[in-house]
Amino acid sequence: MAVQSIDEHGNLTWKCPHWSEDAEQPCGTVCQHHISHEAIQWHGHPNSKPEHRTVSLPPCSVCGAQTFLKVAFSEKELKAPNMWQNWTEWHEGKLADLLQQHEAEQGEAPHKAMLAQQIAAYQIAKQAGGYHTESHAMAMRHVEMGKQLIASGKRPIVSPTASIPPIAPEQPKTEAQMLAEARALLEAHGLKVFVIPYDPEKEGEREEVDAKSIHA
Amino acid sequence: MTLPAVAGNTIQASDLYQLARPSGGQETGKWHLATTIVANNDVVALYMPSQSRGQTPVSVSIDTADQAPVGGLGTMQTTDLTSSGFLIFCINGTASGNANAGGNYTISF
Repeated sequence: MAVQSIDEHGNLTWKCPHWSEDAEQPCGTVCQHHISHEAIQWHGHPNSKPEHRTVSLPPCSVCGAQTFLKVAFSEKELKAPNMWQNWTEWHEGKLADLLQQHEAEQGEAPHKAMLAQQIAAYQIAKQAGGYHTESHAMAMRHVEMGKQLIASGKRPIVSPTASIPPIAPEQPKTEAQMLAEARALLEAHGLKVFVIPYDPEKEGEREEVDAKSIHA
Repeated sequence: MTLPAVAGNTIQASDLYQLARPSGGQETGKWHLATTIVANNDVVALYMPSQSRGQTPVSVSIDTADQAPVGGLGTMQTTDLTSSGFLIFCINGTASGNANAGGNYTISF
């Protein structure tokens, strides 16, 4: 379902995969669009990882559903059981049957050639230990679509806050910092600042300060 | 296997499809979001867990057949599609006490 094909020019053919309620089969409407279509856009929750973003297709003209494609896959995701089929005894049995049929084929050459093709495909899969499924092929088409979107200038919108590091909690200012800030503020207004150290033993006493001596 | 399950029934491979969708398989279900949008441009979201485990999805489709977005909700979108599920969200909500939307979803594997 979804993307059936995408060519090097960005022309997309896709089939709506949506099941409406009470439907007996998926919508299946075949649609064709170019990746420049306005509804083909990146989507993602603010601050979500780039690899988690999806690409939307235009809403289906028949059922109205909108399809969102996964366009980034990890290595682990591409090895999931629906993406990769391991070679099993069942496949060994099928290969043996094909070899027997090929050997026994006395009829038309095209049929024997077709059997030979199937045998070759099975042997390649056996050597590889398995084979990729149609889901894997679909995933690769989605990845290609993501690449073409970026190449065309449609890029995922990154949240403006995504790259800003968390703000560290404000540390309480020291007395020296507060004094320095006060001095700077007053001097900015043309005032001179004289710091007289606080002596708790002289609390309540009045001390005359000679202005001339200060200025000196 | 016919339902209801009784002792002695045989479990078929197709009975396990809900837990392990094969290539080309699809999972369908319902979604519904009802919430309060406190301020304009708030993001409201709903995570939909998948029944299937271990299979990699390739796409998800949604409709709003049960409840068209009302109460400040804009266009519903999906993201974060993984083997565990996906996120439905709306990013351009306007403040409202009765935001509501719902419909069907289809995950394709």
